[in-house]
Amino acid sequence: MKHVDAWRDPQRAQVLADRIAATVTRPWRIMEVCGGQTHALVRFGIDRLLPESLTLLHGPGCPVCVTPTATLDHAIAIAERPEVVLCTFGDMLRVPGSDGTLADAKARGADVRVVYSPLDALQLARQLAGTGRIVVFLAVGFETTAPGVALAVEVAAAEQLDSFAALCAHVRVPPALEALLADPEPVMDGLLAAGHVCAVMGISEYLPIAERHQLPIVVTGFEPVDLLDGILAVVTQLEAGRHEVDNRYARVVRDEGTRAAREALQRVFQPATRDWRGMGPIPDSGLVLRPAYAAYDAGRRFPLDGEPSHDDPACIAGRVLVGRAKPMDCAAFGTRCTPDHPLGATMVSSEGACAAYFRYRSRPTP
Amino acid sequence: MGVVDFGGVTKEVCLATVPDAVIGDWVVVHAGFAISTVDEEAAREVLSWVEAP
Repeated sequence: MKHVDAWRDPQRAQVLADRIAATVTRPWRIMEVCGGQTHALVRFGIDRLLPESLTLLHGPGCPVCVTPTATLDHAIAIAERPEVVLCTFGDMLRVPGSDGTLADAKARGADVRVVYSPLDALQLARQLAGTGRIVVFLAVGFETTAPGVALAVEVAAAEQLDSFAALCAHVRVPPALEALLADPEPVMDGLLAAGHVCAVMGISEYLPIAERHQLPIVVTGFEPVDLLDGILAVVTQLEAGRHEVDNRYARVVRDEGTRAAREALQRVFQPATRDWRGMGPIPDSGLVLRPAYAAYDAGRRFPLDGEPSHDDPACIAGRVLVGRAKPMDCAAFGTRCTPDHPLGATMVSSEGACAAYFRYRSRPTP
Repeated sequence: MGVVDFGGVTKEVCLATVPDAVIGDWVVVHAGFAISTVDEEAAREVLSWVEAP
């Protein structure tokens, strides 16, 4: 298919892999902070094309995975209200809360539905207007997903659609990067920046991070040629002692981002401290609805009370999410914890590191 | 809203964030919303420097 085939061309991939091997003289650690890239790196076996001295680390880039247990508990409590139809993206149904999942709540009779887009939830809310029922959209995702939710909330407000509310658990990449890099011994030497987050936000937020932490940051895409090209760009900078922001995904990412999407984010959301699974609270890393949209904030309409949340003690998702452990380091990997019976979010989402390794690495390659 | 052809499957997509997109453009779609347009020249530029020998 156009815009795909050339980026999966094995010959081009080999040319890049050879150039990487010829460039690298020392061990380097490169992190990506995007579940889509994690999935692609493992699926296409990119790591196996690289010299052994290069280590690829998977960061907290899967929005489903970084959503804390407390948010799931809150969503489940809301879903169990008789007037609520809880809509969310498919992966969220199987993420474990403290006591079961949204899928379990659905099995007990809660009205939980999978939607492809916030617009589907909005359309359902229009159909249910005046019936006393309310559609709650559990909104997770990075800066890529949040503009769509912002637009849906704006439309609901314009239509005074009180049968719609959003439980927002949106997160921003740069504050999480700052948190990872605040570690006196950061796990990474270079970073692949997520193409679709940057498509919305542009690259300006990454310039001070590259400068302050002397970290090469390369914006790249999701296909093998993109990823190898991005890795080559990172190691070229590392070997030369440079630390710049380099946009190698210019076919999609403009340096200034997508203005209308950024503006929608600004109008509807404001930054706030947010808990990340595995990382704890990070200042300004979340996006919450501005007070003008409080009527559409499901968190305010249905505040959470009850027991504090807890995770399965065997699960090492928190350490996997910050690049401190690999999925196979976990005693439960592939045994007690599988995509059918996940202990933690990283095994649930197709973008989670554990799920990617389970799918592509748990059996010997033919 | 506009209709986007995903290699044969068509779907209504919100194009509010890409006001400059015209019929025939390629767009990146995420959860029902276009988040960017594809710049073909920039694509060719990256590909050309990794042209297989």
